[in-house]
Amino acid sequence: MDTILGLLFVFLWASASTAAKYGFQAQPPLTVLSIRFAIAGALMLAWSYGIRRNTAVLRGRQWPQLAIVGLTNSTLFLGAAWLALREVSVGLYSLFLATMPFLVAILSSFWLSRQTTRNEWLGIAIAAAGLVVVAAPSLAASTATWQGLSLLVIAMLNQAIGSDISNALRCRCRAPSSTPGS
Amino acid sequence: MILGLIFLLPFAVALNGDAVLQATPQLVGGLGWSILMVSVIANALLFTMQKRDPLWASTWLLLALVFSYLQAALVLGEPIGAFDVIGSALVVAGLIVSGTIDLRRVAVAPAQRPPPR
Repeated sequence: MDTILGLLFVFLWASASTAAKYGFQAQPPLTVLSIRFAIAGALMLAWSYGIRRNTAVLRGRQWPQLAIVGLTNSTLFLGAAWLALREVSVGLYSLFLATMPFLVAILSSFWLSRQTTRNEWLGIAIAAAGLVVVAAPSLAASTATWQGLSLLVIAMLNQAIGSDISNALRCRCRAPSSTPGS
Repeated sequence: MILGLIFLLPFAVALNGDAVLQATPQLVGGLGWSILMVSVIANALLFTMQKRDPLWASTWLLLALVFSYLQAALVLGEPIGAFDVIGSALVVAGLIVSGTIDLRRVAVAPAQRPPPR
């Protein structure tokens, strides 16, 4: 059962970028994203506060914490990532996103003084070579642009920094609209 | 997410304020799938699975990469070249060498949520 649920999850999770790009054929990325946030946000608010009624109303310091999550996770990450997705292939986009854990590891070694092990550096070097192997031919064939790649890296940096900030703030707010990816 | 929208709106208006919305199949299909299948169903699944097993997500990320390539090829007709396969293999090898993805699922690095989609 877990395997079936897992497969279903990965299938749907992976489909997000293809679905987004399919939508870009009709409207620019930020327009599609705005409509998505509005409808999905309204659905989740209705579910949590209207139907299940099991979510506490935010108060006091939770609001700025939620605002940081909203700004980094939703606006800046998905905003920049979707702008990038218009310029690069879905495969390249997914491959870069798969390396997010490395970025988090490198950044937290800077300011959380977490030790990066030798194996981690080795893995980072191998994966970086992989990114170059995919990105370089795409740039040469103009199926990806420098602008798109830069936006993608900016999105990932923002996401890594955002997750460090919310870890630092010990953000435990679990309002419906704080859910990443939504 | 509503707060995310409020922050996003100025950018969206600045870039595409003059866009005329038309309910084309691409817009309705892409948006409908993003909202229902990804925002609602996939997030609920992720939440449920991670509650059962906090270390769960990382190994599955390998498969997400494969699915992404296949879906884009099928739906959007994006080609999958030799460089894509070689580069992806290197990235996966890097994730395994670093211990980010542990195929034996022993002593996995602290669970991270996959980046939002």
